[in-house]
Amino acid sequence: MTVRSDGTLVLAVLDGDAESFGVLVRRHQAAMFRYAVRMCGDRDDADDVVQSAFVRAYRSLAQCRERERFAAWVRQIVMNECRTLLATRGRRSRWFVTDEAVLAAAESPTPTMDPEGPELGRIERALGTLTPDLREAFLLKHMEELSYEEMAQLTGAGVSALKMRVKRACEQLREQLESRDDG
Amino acid sequence: MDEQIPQMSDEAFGARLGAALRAAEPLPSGAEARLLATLAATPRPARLLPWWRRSLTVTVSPIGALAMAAGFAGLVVLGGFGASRVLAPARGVAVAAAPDTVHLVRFVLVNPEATQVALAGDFNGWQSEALTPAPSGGVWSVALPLTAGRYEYAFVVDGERWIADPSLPAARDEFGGEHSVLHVGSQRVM
Repeated sequence: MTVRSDGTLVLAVLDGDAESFGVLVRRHQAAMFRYAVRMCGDRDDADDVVQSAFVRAYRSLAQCRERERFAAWVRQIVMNECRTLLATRGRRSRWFVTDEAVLAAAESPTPTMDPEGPELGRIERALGTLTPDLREAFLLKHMEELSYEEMAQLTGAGVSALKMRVKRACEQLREQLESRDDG
Repeated sequence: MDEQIPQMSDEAFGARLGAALRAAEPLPSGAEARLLATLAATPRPARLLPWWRRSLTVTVSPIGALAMAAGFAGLVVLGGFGASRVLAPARGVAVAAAPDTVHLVRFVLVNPEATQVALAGDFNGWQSEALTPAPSGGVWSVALPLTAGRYEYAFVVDGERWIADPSLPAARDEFGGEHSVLHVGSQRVM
């Protein structure tokens, strides 16, 4: 079976085949959700963000200029939704350990430290101490593995500003992870 | 490993954390079904009709008629492809703007390499409007009747490359694209 490209699917939706958008959802929803969870620090908020972003993308699909880059376009919408959410949330932190993580730790006979590095929960909590700008830059660079040029296109910020944000994010994360070790 | 953190380069440190953060994050139960149900209740998107195929009512006031009679008292923007060059400053319509005044605005792009140039903006529902090439020199232009107001637009070169007008303020849309902002019927376009 031929796998249709994102651009082909977008065109099909615009030509009336709404089912093709379901293919795009199944293809990209998980990656968008992962980004939103890391950015927002809360699965429920991340779910709301991703649901809203895909609905907005669907309504505005005719404005998707580069159809083959549909994923990048949706990512842009998800990023905007995350920023809006974080701005309205203000300083009220939602960075907490999920129930699943608490249960997993409680049931584990030994500490869940990964010998290869800090475990995900600690990294996420450290991420939560960063400002949204720094967190966004760090995630785009090191989790999504984008180039600085791609990041600049997505965020509208300059390459040098983004490099500075990633550097500051690394410094603050080191500090957080080390201080947690001390504690 | 934690003792090694201070000794790692930023790149290695970031890569280590990035690898951990890329761990799959399972979707909440029923998330996909909920989204698909919401989409099913959402109006279907469609290609926008070309603006000239939609009903368009234009009321020309006496002032507007005078403006049109005066010729293309509108925007003349000249830009190149890539390293764009402004050959003449953009100028706005200097006619006192009544709300129903129609200004004939000419959009011009200089691009000898292009085989096709279109104009897309909120005045035509972001549906590409083909520009007519001049006999030589790669000058592409189209004139549109616009009432006073704020418009956003971009040139579309060869059907795929979107170019914001280099001589006007640029704005980013909510989807990450860049386009130009044009004020018709005011002195703000310079």
